[in-house]
Amino acid sequence: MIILIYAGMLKYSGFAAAGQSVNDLFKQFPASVKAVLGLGELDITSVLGYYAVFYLYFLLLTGVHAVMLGTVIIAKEEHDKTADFLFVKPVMRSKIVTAKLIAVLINITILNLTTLVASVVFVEMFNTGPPITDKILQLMGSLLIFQLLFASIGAGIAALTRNIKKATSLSASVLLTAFIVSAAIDLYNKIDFLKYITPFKYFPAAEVIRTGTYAPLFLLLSLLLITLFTAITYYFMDKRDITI
Amino acid sequence: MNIFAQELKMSAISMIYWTTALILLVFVFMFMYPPISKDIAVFESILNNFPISLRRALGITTLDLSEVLGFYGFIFVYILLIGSVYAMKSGISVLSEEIRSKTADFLLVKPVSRSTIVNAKILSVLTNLGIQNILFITLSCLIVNAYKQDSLDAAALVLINASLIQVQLFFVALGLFLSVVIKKIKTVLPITLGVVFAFFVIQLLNQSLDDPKLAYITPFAYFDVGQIIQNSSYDFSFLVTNFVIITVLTVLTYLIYQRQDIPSL
Repeated sequence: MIILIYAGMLKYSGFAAAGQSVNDLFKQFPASVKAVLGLGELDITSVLGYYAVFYLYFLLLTGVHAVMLGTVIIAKEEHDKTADFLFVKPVMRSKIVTAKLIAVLINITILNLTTLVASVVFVEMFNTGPPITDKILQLMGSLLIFQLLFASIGAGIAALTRNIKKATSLSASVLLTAFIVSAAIDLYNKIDFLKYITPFKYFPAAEVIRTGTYAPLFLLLSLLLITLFTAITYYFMDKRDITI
Repeated sequence: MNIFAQELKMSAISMIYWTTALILLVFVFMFMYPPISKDIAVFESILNNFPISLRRALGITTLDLSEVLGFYGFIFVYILLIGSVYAMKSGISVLSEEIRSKTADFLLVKPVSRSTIVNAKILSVLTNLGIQNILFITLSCLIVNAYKQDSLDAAALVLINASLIQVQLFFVALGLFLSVVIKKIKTVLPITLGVVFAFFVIQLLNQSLDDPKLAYITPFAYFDVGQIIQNSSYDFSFLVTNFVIITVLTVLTYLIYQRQDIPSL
């Protein structure tokens, strides 16, 4: 992740110099063409717009990490044959789930903070304009919500399925589908209504940067989904027949 | 032969799922082609006036989205992505599955050499990929053909489709190699997704930065669709790169597996 950001920002210095005149051209682009190119309404020659391009990469990589982490941490005890060791201990199942979820939370936060620090440091290194640290903070905030959402989806799926193979394939399909749907929306804006089903579209970087806030509807939706999937995890882990 | 048949039997369902997903993907995306092409055709003339360096930076050098082939090339990235996940998953799991399901000591005490086992297993993966690609290429050509307006460069279409299996072979080889190098693989998909998406992100980066060195790192860049449409051929140096990487990784897999300590119960 750190290497990605560094390499990317290194390129920016060259890109920005060549970019001034390009920018005027961009302004004449019709919206649909810009959408196809993935540019949105951002000026990619400014350091902020350039950085926003990276946001998609962050979403992809942290999404994979979060959904797999959430799935595996719940499903692995039975697979590793350690379930009978853990679940006969005098600890409630809900306590075990809580401990596991906290571990996920810490992992995710560390990844998020690493990305944040690397972003701030490297962006400032190459930034010639005004500082954009506050915007980066905001983007990392929405990234964290996105990560939590996928982690809870992963955990929920793991609690609902019988074995780790099924759980990971299902989680992987959810992530891939969400990504493909978001790509389809980028391509063809008439299916915009599908954005509710793909977390990749909940907090688009351009929107967050422009408005400086998160869309309340999607914030609410994210929280609802996180709560729902966490509840599913607790409920079904409590009822689960543990195979040994 | 027994090992080969058993492997095929165990992996058939999964192959059918993934193949269906690939074909569905083409179907759904091509469904959006007519309205999009109308949108884009209007701006085509504007785009064509742009200097070539600018179009390069935007990744639209030669891809003309209003043309059915250009559009197909544009969505082909996602087909490559899904196909690669499947290929890498197969590559990683085919050898390591025995250890995970504690059947390695059952298989490896049989009077067959290890290389025979690896042969049978790799052959089963290749068979799956072969079937998948035949199904995929046939159906996707049919779908794309249904959307063509006037003429269609059939050779380019086949070349684009045929690049799928070459990228898949890269990921199979990488998966095989990783599965004998990493000591204990508990679950296949987390590693698979991590690696494939890492390469995919490098490709996205490569597209926006257009750095010739970056392109060699990721197989997603080896078969550039725009270039295929323009020349009706692959870029020779990438073709060789891909081939060399696949060969080296496969040979290493055989060598390492030959003398690997396999944990028994």
